[in-house]
Amino acid sequence: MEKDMSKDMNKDIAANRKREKIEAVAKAWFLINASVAIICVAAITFFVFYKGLQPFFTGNHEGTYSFIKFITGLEWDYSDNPEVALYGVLYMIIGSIVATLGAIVIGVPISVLTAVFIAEIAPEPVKKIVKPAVELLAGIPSILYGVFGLGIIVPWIRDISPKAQGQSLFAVMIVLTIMILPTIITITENAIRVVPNSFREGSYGLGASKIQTIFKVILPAAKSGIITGVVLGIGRAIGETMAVILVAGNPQGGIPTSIWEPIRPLTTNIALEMSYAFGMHQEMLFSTGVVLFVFIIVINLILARAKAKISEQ
Amino acid sequence: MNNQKFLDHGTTLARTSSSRIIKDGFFYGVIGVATLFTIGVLVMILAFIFSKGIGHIDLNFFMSDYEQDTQYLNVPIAEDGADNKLGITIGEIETEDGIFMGVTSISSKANVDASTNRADDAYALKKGDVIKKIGNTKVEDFTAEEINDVINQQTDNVIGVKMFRPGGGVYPMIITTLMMIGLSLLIAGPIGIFAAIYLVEYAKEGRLVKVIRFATESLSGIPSIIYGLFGMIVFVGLFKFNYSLLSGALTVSIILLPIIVRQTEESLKAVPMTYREGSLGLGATKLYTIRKSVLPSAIPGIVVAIILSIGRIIGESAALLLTAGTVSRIPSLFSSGATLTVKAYAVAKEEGNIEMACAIGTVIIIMVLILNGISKFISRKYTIKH
Amino acid sequence: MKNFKILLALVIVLSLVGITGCSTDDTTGDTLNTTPEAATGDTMSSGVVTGSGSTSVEKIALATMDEFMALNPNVDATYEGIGSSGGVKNADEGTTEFGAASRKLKDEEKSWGMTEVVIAYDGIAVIVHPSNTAMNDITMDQILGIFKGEITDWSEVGGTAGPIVVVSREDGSGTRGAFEEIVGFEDELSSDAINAEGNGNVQVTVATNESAIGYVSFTYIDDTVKPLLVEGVEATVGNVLNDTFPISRPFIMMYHEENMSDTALAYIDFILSPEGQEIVEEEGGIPVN
Repeated sequence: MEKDMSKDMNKDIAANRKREKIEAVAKAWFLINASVAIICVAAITFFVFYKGLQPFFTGNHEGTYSFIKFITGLEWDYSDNPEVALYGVLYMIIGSIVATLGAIVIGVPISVLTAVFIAEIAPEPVKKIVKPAVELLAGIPSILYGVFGLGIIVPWIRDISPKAQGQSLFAVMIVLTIMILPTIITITENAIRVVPNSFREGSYGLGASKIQTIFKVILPAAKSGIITGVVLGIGRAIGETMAVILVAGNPQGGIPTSIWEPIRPLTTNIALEMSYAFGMHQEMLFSTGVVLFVFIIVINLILARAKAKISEQ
Repeated sequence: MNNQKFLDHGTTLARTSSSRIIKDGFFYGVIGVATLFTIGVLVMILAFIFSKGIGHIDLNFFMSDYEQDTQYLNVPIAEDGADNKLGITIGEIETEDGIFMGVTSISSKANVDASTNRADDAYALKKGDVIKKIGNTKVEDFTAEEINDVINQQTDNVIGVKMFRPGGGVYPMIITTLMMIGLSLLIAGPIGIFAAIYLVEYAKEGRLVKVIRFATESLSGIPSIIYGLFGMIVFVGLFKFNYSLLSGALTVSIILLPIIVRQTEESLKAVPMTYREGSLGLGATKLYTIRKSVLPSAIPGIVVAIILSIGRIIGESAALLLTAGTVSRIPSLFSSGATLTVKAYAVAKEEGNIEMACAIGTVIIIMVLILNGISKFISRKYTIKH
Repeated sequence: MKNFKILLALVIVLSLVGITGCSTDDTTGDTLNTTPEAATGDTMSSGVVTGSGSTSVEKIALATMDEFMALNPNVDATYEGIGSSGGVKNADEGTTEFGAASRKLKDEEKSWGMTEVVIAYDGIAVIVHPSNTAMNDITMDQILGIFKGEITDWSEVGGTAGPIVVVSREDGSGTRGAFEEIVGFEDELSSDAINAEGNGNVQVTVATNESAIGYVSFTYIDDTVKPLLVEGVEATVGNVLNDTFPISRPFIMMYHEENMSDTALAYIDFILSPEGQEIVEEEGGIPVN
């Protein structure tokens, strides 16, 4: 009898050990999976920077190029002859930034107001139409915005522009504005919705009208959420490729002096020439990617900071 | 503090009630205009894409290949053909490239189903096929009667026919898109779900978790062209997968990770603690608890994550362009194939064919609408929130 | 660790694809043992042919492959239009068996020692908007001036006064390479020029802009754009053949012998055969000889 009991106990212990082992393995397995995201970010950063920074170091077997010339250059003109090839991205950086700013200036007020409408004003049946519309806008692939831009916006701009072509900074701004709308609307709407009802009641109780409550109480309270939306919108706008490639004009040089002039955003520079490029030319396109990546990292850091602030509050 | 703020507002607000109505009216107007702009833009885009694209869309658009397919067939004659020995009716066939003479209907007596190609493989002659040659006679410019005559002049029981099946359809791209969806979800789905389980069920707030969260956030902020560059060096170049379904799917998988992790995390968090406590209290292990009580209640959320991912894959173009290529054929794992969205871009840029791009766009938008509908349905049916 | 994960995922995926892949092969229908009177050649090729390169060659490559596969149903031939430079590079590295370019090979590319075959010729037409009725004829010098940005108004070349919008192909394009080389402004394109990606995009841009000038392969001319006479010569296949139209270029396929399967060689032979050249012509190319 006693022997049997100890046998059972041993069995139990063995089973427990086995279970613990499985538990430990499972935990490790989940951890590994969770770490994939870290590895991916690290690998993406490493490879893009590795490939993109090579041309600036001496001894690169594809040839070297001055970083100063690259970052301050106003002309991009690839050539098989390395002596005459020009890889300047400053005018692209300016184009990308100005286009993004323009999209933010036009897009943010429209998005915030639309979000206000959805969250605070619209009666339920209207909301049922507007909200899915915004969701659909978010789901339309960027290339279709580009086709729309080429078919409608570019001809329209050509009609009103003093210049003879419609491919322009303005066209890019409009397309980007449309593209960031759903991002900012969705996030702002959520931010407005989590503003406690006591705020609204307090404001009404003091005799404020709905509009006053929205602009003086609710929007200030939802500020950090709106900022998050705007930052994400900036990220989306600066990184957008396929929607703008068809409407930007993509000239080989020149800082735009008006909204009617064509620009060559950083992203389209990559997409336009990548399939042809090899050697030094390809590396320089990765360098363009590095510049873009630096922008994105900065935006992400700002976003992280903003989020940290929100959670503090 | 906040209350003090309200009081300040209150005193100023109450005073200005006369001009308030005008002001309020103005702001209502501005809000209305902004909303109308948003809706107007959507309506314009849909109107443009649907109106340009709808003319292209019919059953053939979904069912046929993008490239035409030419074959030399041995077609057995019919037992009793009406117009000709083959038992087929010849008439005009409309294709992308113009109007040709071809098969407009097939009589029940015909044996064209038993046709074979040059490799003796079965290849049935079908309605809609264009006929180019009968025997040694080119019939491209012939009328229907002349073609019937040529067919009837043939003496053998099996007649040689050179034909082509017109292209212009997006069938291969639909299949490629489905393959891309399947493969990417197969890779990213488990990783994302397991990662979310770790974050919600195991991790204690600490440095590692912070880093994981930051990494996931960062992934969602990286533009797809950068993913494309990465996929191009690593999967296409380093791993030598070339432009292929696999390179594309691996690249897209990384893009999907943050979406799946975040959504799954949300749905795991929404599972009440009592479920876990109950299960653990009964002596179940943690793994068992997760498997049997946490995951099942989180399934609707995971399904929504998958639907969102599908939407993202359908819409992806820049990353796939640099990793999966633009060939309009059904790919194998290691060969190139274009998804619908990539093809829409390719036809717009290479052929300048805006109508075709819009036709593909119409299909994509309808898919997005359906996906949005499903995800809404599921969330509504299963939400425990609020 | 990531590699390991990917490897694992790969193994799973591979095995799945393997399972589904096997079942679809080997279809043998009812066989009727008669040789088609229409078909040519007795030995049938089988296997895979892969090519990549110029987008201008794509139409011709796809059409000849379609016919080649009809003659040899066990052949699976694919062509990917990724641009001339990419095609030459792929052929050299063996990524695809052969490459195709819509321009002459550059000295550096020639030094890689590949076999080159001219499969067709093509003209490059200078196109304007159909409503630009004042412009019908242009000289090579005028083209040069316009694309270098020295001539910026239509009145300078005999048109109605108004700014010229220059539309170029993107850098690396074979059509652009050939055009710049023949007209003589390599690396000197006006920095105001719009860079449109792809023949189709140039064509659409010109077709929707009354002030635009651009250039496309003959195969892309349709009634939405108007080709100009160059030095008084019309942009026709005949004029390229008799050497009077000045802007023409060869379509070249290139390969390393050791990378080529017999089937791929048979395909190249087929393009050069009378039937192949007939298809080249149907697709808007200009046959060799």
